[in-house]
Amino acid sequence: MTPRAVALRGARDMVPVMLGGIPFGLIAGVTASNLEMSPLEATAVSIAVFAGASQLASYELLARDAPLIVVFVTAVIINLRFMIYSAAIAPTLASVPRGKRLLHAYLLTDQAYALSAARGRDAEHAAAYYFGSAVPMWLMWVTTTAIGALAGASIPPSWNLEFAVPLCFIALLAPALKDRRQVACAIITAVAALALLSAPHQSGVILSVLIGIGAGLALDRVTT
Amino acid sequence: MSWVGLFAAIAVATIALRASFILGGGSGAFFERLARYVPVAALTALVVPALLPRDGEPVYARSLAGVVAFAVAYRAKNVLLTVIVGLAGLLVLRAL
Repeated sequence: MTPRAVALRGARDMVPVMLGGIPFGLIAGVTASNLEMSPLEATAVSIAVFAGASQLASYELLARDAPLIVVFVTAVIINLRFMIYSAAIAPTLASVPRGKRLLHAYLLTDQAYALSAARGRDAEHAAAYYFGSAVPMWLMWVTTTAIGALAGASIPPSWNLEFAVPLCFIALLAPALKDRRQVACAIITAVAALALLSAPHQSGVILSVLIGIGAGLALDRVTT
Repeated sequence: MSWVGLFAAIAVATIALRASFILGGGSGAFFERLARYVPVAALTALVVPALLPRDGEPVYARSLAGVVAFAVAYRAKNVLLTVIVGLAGLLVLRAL
């Protein structure tokens, strides 16, 4: 197959995968509009950051009046996983010209990484497959946040749509708990988050994340 | 607009994380272990405060709706269904 055909195949494979992201995009748009960001601003954030979980977390913390530094650090912690994906996918993209690699890196998402990993990194034209699958994800994200931001103002407050953000996080969290150590990490983080509720400037989020990660890594040491 | 600077900073940090190894090269076993816990801890820490009661609703409304949503997410692994069940659950529990 030509690289072009492989890229198109990647795009086709992404379609069912990216459908799951549509509610996140819509809710991110609605949440941004609740913060009185204009649809244009909300869309600009989706293009610039292009990382749903960190955008939702940022909006959630801004709604709770967290200081900007707390929002920033939380977003970076959530996006740390891209570093792992970056390491894992780097061999696949070694054949891409240096100038284009930054664009490939920008398009890196949970979904694009997962598809490429599942399709085998050594397959023919793996870089084209990655790029072809990554682009529809970008189009979906930017479009759905724009739609959500435009629709946001007309959704009645009695629907409690702000609650959709933690529900999105629950939808991500539940399937991510794959073994006992991860469950223990979640429980310790939850206890820490409750204990640190009144920590100054919403810093309880960052502190409890660090405690939870530390506990997980410590459990790795004890049990292996 | 103080958010412009905030989201510009998040955008720069995020592309740096994404590009770290694609532009740099190399890999690390430590990061792979870290990857097991970062999402779990970050999501938990964001969810827990959001399940606390707000004024004018039963104290258990949000936490119970959250627990039901968690059960749905665990079994069905479906974002849309999780959000709909959670929102509907909160709506019902608030009305009780």
